[in-house]
Amino acid sequence: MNGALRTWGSVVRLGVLHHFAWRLDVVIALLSATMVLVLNGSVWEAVADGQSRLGTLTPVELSTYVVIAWCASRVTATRVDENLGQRHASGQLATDLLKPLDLPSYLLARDVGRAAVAAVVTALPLLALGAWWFPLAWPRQPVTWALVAGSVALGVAVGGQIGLLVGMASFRLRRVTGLVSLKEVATALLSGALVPVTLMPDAAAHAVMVLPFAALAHVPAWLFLERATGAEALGLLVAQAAWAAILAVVVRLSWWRALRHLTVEGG
Amino acid sequence: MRDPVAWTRGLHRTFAVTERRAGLSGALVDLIAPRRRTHAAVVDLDLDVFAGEIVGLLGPNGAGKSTTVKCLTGLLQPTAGEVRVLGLDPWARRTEVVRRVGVMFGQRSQLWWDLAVREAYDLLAAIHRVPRATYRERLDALATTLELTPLLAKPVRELSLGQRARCELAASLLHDPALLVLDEPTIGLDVGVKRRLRTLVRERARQGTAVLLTTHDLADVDHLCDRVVLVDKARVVFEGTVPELRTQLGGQRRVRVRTADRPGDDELAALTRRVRSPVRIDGDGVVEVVVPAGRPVAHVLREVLSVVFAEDVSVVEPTLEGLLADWYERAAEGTA
Ligand SMILES: Nc1ncnc2c1ncn2[C@@H]1O[C@H](COP(=O)(O)OP(=O)(O)O)[C@@H](O)[C@H]1O
Ligand SMILES: [Mg+2]
Repeated sequence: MNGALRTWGSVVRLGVLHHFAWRLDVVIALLSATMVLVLNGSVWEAVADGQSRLGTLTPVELSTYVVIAWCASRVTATRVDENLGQRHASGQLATDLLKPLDLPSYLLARDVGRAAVAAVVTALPLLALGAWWFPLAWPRQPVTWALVAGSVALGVAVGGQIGLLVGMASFRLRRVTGLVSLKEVATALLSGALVPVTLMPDAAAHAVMVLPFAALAHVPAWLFLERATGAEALGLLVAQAAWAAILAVVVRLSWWRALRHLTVEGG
Repeated sequence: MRDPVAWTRGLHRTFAVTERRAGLSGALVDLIAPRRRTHAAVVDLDLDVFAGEIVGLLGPNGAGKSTTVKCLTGLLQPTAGEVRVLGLDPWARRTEVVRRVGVMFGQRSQLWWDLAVREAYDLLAAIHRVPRATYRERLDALATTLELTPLLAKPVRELSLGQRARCELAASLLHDPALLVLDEPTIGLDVGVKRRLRTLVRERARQGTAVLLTTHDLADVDHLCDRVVLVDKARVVFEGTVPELRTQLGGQRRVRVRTADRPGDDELAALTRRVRSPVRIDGDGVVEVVVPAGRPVAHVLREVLSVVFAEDVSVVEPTLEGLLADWYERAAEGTA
């Protein structure tokens, strides 16, 4: 058990170190995320201008949703798809498989390290900036912060598994970038990161709530607004956890299948 | 006799390959109806690697060496046949098997590009669950033998090829594997680094590690291998010791004698009869006689000197390099 803790702790740490190895990347990611936040926030502010409510949200709630959903999405936006696809294309997968580790778990653990870095160096500064630029509705109950944090953590699990599936799907392609951008568009549109889910037409909003993408941005924002509290809040977390579990099973099955067809080229 | 650490029986591995048609119209046809066939990379391969033994897997490019290595390390599922490493099926139980196996690919890194060498080793030790104290001892020993100390703080991406090779070999030994697999480990390295790697591999084998080595560097084979397996076009064509391989490849020594006055045709014909072996003479009057297998050099030399007046004498040993090059060439022409 102690050994397992050391192993997985070291892999998470690798994710952190790897992210910090390229400091300039971190800075650029923060800059571009800031631009999106300010632009998107301003657009929604203009849309809500003079209105008492947009859908069920007051203008202040709307800005809050937009800021929180975007911050959460920066943490849940995984890189495992790209990582796995590149490893496959370059043949690096061979040396990965020669380590006594379960590769999907290894990549997820690394992604947890990445998410931790993103939370501290991207999401928190973005939140501070968002709070300074836009009027925000802060949670009234301290427990809300814990619910939001738990929800983002579950979002990381869901996002990571989606990433693994995208990465595996890319094994048949020469480059992973096409699939990754497809996933990014789907995530941006369906997770609430850019467009609040509650402002979508009813049918679309219902559909989105059934898909796993809402776990990546909408749920944390919704909890932050205390629109779901108590049992309802727990229900949302359970739904996220259920998605994480379902995706984990799909990942497992796909991985076994992929291993069978993998030919580990080169050498 | 003890069981081999790693063995294969009747190992087969085929790949499905897509053949491309030529030209633009061919590419279009390929899009709709790709032409597939199966390609056998390894056919009916029997291999044993015992503890303390260094086995060389030789053969021209594309012979199936890496495919064999991948089947042994659980990266590829054999199409047919049996593979066991430490009694386990590497494909079915890869994680367990790779805990006891160290692998070094000369063309690929098992370290992490962005991490410092020491960080990478710490992580490998954690992944392999090597107790901390044991790990420190091993790293100290390896760092001394391979002179790694000045490299430990450097990021892997900044290492030169030779430095990286030393770091990679140490990495594959941190968990004290029972089987060490080296796939072209000395590719592109200078002689100094090669020598250092060889010394360590020898040392490891003496301590009981089973070693499987694929290489195109025949000095590696000469210095290291207790036994070699030569594969060609997916099949084993020879198995035995290095001296046996020389004999098998027709590696005969030659006596070269520079003559003061060029012998005439009659004299050469007489010499050929006496030594019962091919005799050649080049434009500079150097006579070259093949020493038939089993005949002492001195014997042949005496015969030659009784016929010609020698100014200078030398005995040419065939190099494994030259022999294999000849053999590969003949194999490619389909006459071997
Ligand atoms: N993933 C793969 N897909 C198709 N063919 C392959 C694959 N890997 C190897 N081969 C083919 O199998 C043969 C043996 O390859 P390999 O074992 O890499 O040879 P080598 O002896 O040079 O290491 C070659 O003809 C190679 O083209
Ligand atoms: Mg090879």
